[in-house]
Order: sequence, then C-alpha cells, then structure tokens
Amino acid sequence: MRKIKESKKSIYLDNASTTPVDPLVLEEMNSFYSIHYANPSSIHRMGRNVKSQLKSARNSIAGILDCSPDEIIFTSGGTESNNIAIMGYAFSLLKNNRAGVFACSEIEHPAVIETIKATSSFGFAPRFIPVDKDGIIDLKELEKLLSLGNVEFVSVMYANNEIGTIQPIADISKLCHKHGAVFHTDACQASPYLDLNVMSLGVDMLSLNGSKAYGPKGIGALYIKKIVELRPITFGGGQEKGLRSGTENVSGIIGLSKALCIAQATRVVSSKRETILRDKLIKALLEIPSTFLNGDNNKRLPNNANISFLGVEGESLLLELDKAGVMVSTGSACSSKSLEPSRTIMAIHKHDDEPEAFAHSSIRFTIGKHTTESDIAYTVDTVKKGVDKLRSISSAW
Amino acid sequence: MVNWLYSKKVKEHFFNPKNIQLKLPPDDSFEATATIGSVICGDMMQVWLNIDSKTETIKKMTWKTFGCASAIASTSILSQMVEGKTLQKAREIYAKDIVTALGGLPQNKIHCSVLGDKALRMAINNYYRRVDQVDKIQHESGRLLDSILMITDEEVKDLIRQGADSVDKLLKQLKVGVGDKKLKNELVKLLKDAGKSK
Repeated sequence: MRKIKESKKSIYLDNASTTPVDPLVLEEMNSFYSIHYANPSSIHRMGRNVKSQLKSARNSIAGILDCSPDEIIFTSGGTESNNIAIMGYAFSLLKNNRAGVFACSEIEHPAVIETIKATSSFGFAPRFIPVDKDGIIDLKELEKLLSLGNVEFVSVMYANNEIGTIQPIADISKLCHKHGAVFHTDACQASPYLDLNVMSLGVDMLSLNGSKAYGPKGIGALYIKKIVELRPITFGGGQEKGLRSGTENVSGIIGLSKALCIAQATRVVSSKRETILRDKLIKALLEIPSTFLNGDNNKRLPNNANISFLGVEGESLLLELDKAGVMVSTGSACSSKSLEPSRTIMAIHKHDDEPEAFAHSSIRFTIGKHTTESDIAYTVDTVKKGVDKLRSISSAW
Repeated sequence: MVNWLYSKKVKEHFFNPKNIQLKLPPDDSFEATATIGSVICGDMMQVWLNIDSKTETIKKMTWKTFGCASAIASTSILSQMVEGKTLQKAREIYAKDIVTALGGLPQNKIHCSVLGDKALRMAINNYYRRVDQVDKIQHESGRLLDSILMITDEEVKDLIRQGADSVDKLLKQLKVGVGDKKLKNELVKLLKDAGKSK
C-alpha cells in the first residue's frame, strides 16, 4: 500500500462554520470559571458581584446595538435566539387568538427555516420568499406577500452563511412595518463585519452569537424591541425576562460581549484586509475553466468566497484540500447529514438547467483574521491541483 | 492521528485510485462500456471492459467517476475485484460485496455511492448485445423503477424491510431527485403493499 502523505499545514478557511476564540476574550472569561463562579441570582456578595458584571456585559452589547439593555436577552447561541424569536412570537399571537403567515427567505439558515416550518403545527402558515440569482431577496415578491394582509412575521438573514450575500435589511424592515409585520434578522454571520445598529437597521428582533465572531461557542443573544411581546418557549426559573430560564452562562456572556466589542471596533480595518484577500482568491480560482462564483459580487461578506467547480464533486475536492492542509466546506449533498444538496445554492441557480450540478460542486472558502497572503497563494495552488486531478477521473467532465 | 472520514481502504482508493481511464478510449480498444447515474444525482460513473471473448473473462476494467470519496473508492476497488473473473462471476458482485471489500461505509452512503456493480452488469449486458448473444442478457432482478439509477422494486422492498417507512426516507436513501413524480408514485405503492402507508 502506498503511504498517503498528509500535509502538516493547517490553513483554516472555514470561519463561517466557527471562528477561534480571541485570546483577549479567553482572558476575560477565565476568572468567571475559577473566581467569579457564583450564581448571579444569589443575593450574597459573590452573587451580587457576578450580577453586576453581567449587567455591564449587557450594557456593552446594548451600546453596540444602540438599544436599551433590557431589550437584550442571552441565549445558548444563534439557533436558540432564532427559535425564541420565531416561536416566542408565534406563542404570543396564539395567546391573543391570532393566526397568519410566518415567512422567511428561501435561503435562511436551518435554525430559521425549520422553526418557521414548525409554526405550522400551531396553525400558522409558513411561506418562503424567493431570492434572485445572486441570493438577494426579491423585494417585489416580499411586497406581494405582505399585501395579502395576513403576514404576522418575517425573518431575513442579514448575511448568508453559505454565499455571504448581504440583504437590504433597512429596506425590508420598512416594507414589513408598512404592512404591520414584525421583522427579525439573523445577524450571526454579519456581526464581525457589518453595522449592528438596530435603529438604522429598523429591525424588531436580531439574533447574535459568539462562535462566528471570535467568541465562545454556546452563547448567543437576542435583541427584542420593547414593543414586541414574546412568550417563553422553555420554562424554569424565569431568568432573562422569563424568556430563557436557566442559570446564566456568565463566562460565555462575558466572552460574547468582549468578542463583539473587539469585532465591532476592528470591523472596518478587518473588512478591508479580508476583502483584498477574498478578491485575490476569487480572481485566481475563476481562472480555472468552468468555475462560477455563487452569490453577489459586491453585496457580499468580506470573508466569503463560494465557488462551483463543475465536473468535480464537492466532498471529493474538500478531502483533497484537507489532505493538503486546507480546511473548507461544501454544499454537496454527499457531505450533508440529510444527503440533500445546499438549499441556498439550489435557490440561486433555480433558473439554470441543472441547479444540482452547481450545488454538488460548490466549495465555500471563508477567510478569517488569521488568514495570510501566503495562505491564499497555497490554497489557489492546491485547489488547481485538486480540480485537475478530480476532473481527470470524472465522468462528468 | 485524527480518524479519517471513511475506512483506511476507502482512503487508499480515493487518494490513489486504480485503473482510471484518463482519456476517453477509442471505440475499438474495449469490448463493452456502460454509464450510470447523473450529475443531478451527485454520482455518475462510466466503466469500460476488456473482455477475452473465448473464455468470457474480464481482462481489465477501467472507469471514470464523478462523485464523492466513497463513489470513487467503490469504483476503484471494483475494478480490482473483477480482474480475471468470468462475466458470470463478475455479475454476482453486488453493492454489499463492494462495501465489505472497502471495510465498510456509512449506512447513508451505500445506496447512493455504490453504483459500480450496476454499471458493470449493464456493461456485461451491452457486451452480449454487441456479440449477438442476447440470450445471455440478464436484467436487474425485479422491476425497473428508475432507468437512470437502475433502481428496482426489489431494492426498494429491501430498504423498506430495513426500516424505511416513508417516501421521503426512501428518496433520501436512494438519493433520487425529489421531482420524479412517477417514481414517487411507485414508492407510495410499494410502501402501501408493505403495510407502511399512513
């Protein structure tokens, strides 16, 4: 057996999956495991101390969002934030004997799409708003849906996790409000790069998490505008205004707050740097014949390059890159739990002859703050070799 | 060392595949060929056979595959398994034999990525057609439900026996385009026959 040589290199281009924790964030968090470990609900001195730290973390995030601290609740992550926003609002409508449409874009994260679908069990009607070939939501279709008059809730992600497309959130907010619908956005992917001011965005609810912004995993937040009434979807001790019972993940909250502060303070500089690297990567990879950039050219997160290499199946290419020490992800069916190709890539290619061909052959490269010029050069070289090899044995090339 | 996604054997065959047909061969350089699957399904393979007509033995099988690591590895190992085998013996190789030779595959990968045995049987049929021995042509056991992926009713019944109790689960395991109404109706019927319909 020929020995398979695996590179010792480790080039991480999967930052949209999750980012490493910033050492400064980790440093802030440490004492909350060993020294400030008391329960913030305890009324003794140690408890009170932690409670005040929790308060200042909430204040910092409120400063970033330009909202009141009591409009923020902490959750276990982006998925839970989205669940509380959608189901919590559905439950509050139920209480008032109201039903209607719950809508989201057709390229939302599963944490939104699956929850929107689940509202149907409670008598609501899920609807999915189409996107164009670049992944931008079709505002005309949205308006058409809204003018039916029974749309209660709309969720559209700030930036897409797979293709990085940035949505016109302020415009969508306005449309929704014109027709009396509550508007939520999932800003998990956007937080390291885009403005999170809820006033200028005009949103009613906004989800955030730590693990995409150089903070810890297992922590998230949900902004809920004062006028929006939610009902709890889990029950217990009544923490976080009764919407997220359970002892607060204090170290996580401290980490999330610190991570968002760093990310927002550095976002302009890091966006500029990563955009340059991203554009180099895209330009070089599109020189390979029969490759396509998925998503919008300009309205795109600075760290995202998603490319289909026709004739090559994504999982195979991912594993070739993995062997060479480059870590990416794919929209191919073969690598998903469900064996379904990426819904996002299928949606933007729905007018092409074979949308599946684009999905099965797509690779997502997501740059991070540790990515260097030489990482990009090595990646380009490795992808070219991998595509050549796999196309040479491909029956679809 | 970090565990790899699949078995050692899959890894070996994926990274160093055997008997690849790099360039499309001229028509007179092989005795039979067949293609199965499609880009839409995510797996597509073509095999070429060199056959000794006197002994009806496979001298060499070469191939091209578009697909994931397990699809590439399964075609590669099949090309080694059939070398020197008579057509009759080669016909008796099924997906489960390929999976065993590979040291196992994740359950959800078996139906979608192991198509090589079907391509091989199609190629053998094509050979008999070409040499005018149509009496030796054998059809996949059972009734053909889908002619691109060569899915038969027997195969679907087998999946139902293994616990697939809805059309969605069957489609997922067979990895067939959800748009195919005709196939969907057939699956509904088979589920009903097996007493699994709701």
